[in-house]
Amino acid sequence: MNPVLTLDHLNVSFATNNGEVSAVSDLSLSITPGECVGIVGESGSGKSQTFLGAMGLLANNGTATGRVVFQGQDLLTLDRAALNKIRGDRMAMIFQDAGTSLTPHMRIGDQLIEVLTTHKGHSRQAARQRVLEVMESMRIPEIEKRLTQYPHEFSGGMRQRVMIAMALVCEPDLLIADEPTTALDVTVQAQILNLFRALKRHTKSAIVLITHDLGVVAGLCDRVAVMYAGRIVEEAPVADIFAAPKHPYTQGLLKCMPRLDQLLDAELDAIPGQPPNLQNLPNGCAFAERCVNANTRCHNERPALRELSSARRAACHLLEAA
Amino acid sequence: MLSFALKRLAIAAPTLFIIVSLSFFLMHTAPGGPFDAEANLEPQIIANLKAAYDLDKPLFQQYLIYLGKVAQGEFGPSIRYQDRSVTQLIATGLPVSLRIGLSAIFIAAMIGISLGITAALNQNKTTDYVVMGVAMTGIAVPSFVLAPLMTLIFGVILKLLPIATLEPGGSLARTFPAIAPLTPYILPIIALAIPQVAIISRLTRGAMIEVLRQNYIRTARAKGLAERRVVWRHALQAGLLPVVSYLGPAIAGIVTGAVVVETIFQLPGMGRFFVQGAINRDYPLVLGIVIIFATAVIAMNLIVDLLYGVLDPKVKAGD
Ligand SMILES: Nc1ncnc2c1ncn2[C@@H]1O[C@H](COP(=O)(O)OP(=O)(O)O)[C@@H](O)[C@H]1O
Ligand code: SF4
Ligand SMILES: [Mg+2]
Repeated sequence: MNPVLTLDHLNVSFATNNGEVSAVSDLSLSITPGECVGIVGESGSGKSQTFLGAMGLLANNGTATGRVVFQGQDLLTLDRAALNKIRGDRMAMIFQDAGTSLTPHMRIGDQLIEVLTTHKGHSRQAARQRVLEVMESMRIPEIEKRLTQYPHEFSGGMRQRVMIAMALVCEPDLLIADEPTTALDVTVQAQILNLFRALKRHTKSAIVLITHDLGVVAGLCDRVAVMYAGRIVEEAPVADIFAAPKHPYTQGLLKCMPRLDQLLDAELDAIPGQPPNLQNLPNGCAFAERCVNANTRCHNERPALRELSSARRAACHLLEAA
Repeated sequence: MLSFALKRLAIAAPTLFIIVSLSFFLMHTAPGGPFDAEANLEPQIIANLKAAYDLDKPLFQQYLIYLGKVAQGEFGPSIRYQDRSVTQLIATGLPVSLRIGLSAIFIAAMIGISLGITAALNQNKTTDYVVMGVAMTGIAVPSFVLAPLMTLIFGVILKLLPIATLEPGGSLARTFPAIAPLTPYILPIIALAIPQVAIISRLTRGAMIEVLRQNYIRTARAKGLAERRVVWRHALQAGLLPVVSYLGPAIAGIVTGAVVVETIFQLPGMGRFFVQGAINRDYPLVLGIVIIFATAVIAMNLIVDLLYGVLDPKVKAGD
């Protein structure tokens, strides 16, 4: 099956007063139709910028290079109008902070309806009908009344449901969800994750789920890509990641996952040290400063992302011999 | 909304009272009096004149008499314009000032907002620098420099527009008779509007740049909306909030601007009566105009607050 999205040697960098920030470096990844891929990594590892870059949503000082092939078209070569035909329609994105991601002075209904009137040429009435349908599947109560309200009249969880509904009204082939549960409290997080589970069963859309929490990935994704300092360091089917993580960073992440026998607030930040400065990335392995297995080669030579088996890739010198 | 408006009106009354009282005592403590220029008059005549305007009574009594009149909606007779009441003078001056002031603020808002949006959408590009450079000049050059300069160029040298009169004139009026009645107002309106254009465009630019950085603008773009719709539907309303709150003080600024501009252009508006009144210690005239100005400013601020509630659904007028 042809991939729905292929990132091919994608770089995202930002021009700042203190020099260039390399947020994403030489990143290649394919998403197959219908599959759910988790993108995991610490905060600042470039997860969001990878997909914002792919959707043409970078901040003014950012540039994306490489290729972003969506259903055969390289999005980075498209002009605004051509890109606008795709995003929101065949490719949609949900953001972490639903509280600030909805326009405060527009009624929720109008914000949903405009997606359909823009892409599908629906009349307002037809669009409203479809919006009601999708809102219902998002288990939003009192929909009719809700449509006339403003974002500040919604709870955090309800706003995130609206964001998801907004992304789904056009039945996209690819849904990118950037930390959809991070800003929510635990019970609401569970509800939203349940929605995603239902979504995965009932739609044919591929899902990219960005999260810093490996636990979120576990019950939901088919495949996981682990990012560190703007690169993918390991990619594997989800079961393999949990059963046999190969990269020392993935192993570290798994070790600091919360377990049921731990207190909720227990100290989890287990990998000591900090990720490298993105303005001045090391020549060798970006993880070397924090890696227990690091040797001189690690500090001098960057490990390539190599295939370990047909479904697995990792970037670590230690794995070369195997 | 209604109870909010009523509450504000209830505050307006004491505010006006304080403004009137302060102005009254400030006016009367300023040295000199209305008849100083007529020093050659007999002392007896001056005493009679003073008695006619109650100026011979103790100050506090004068104050009470004045408050009593104002409460009945009367501003008394003018001292300087002897056969006319302050109300009559205001009735001739106010329409002139309103025409100039409101046109100026309306035009300034339209142009300023358009320029501000254009600059914000082209942030740090040539268009932005040009627009903002021009705006900065507008702020730097005050009306009292701009007005004589424009009079000189368009009135005296080019003879396009009439000067120092409300009668139509100049070659523009002869070429386009349809707009002839407007010609006397063009220069004063421009002189009054230009500094406001500058301020409003800067405000709009700053606010729009801030709004365009917001997460919800990213959402709107992610939805594939045309840039036009992103700007007009998702950004503009929030971007205009600071401009709307500025319009209250701006209208107060137009009032003081009118004093300068009407004096320079010699137009019989409130501003000129105010200056004449102040120079001649025409107490009733000055106080009458202060009351009208203060009422206008309070009313405009109320309207602006109500408008704010309409633009921002989070602001429930009344909280
Ligand atoms: N506009 C910007 N200018 C400079 N650096 C930026 C900008 N936006 C993001 N970055 C940097 O890019 C890096 C990756 O960010 P991001 O992809 O948002 O991380 P995360 O993995 O938490 O989603 C961060 O270190 C951040 O500082
Ligand atoms: S390459 Fe070296 S430093 Fe990097 S993860 Fe592997 S062992 Fe650790
Ligand atoms: Mg992020």
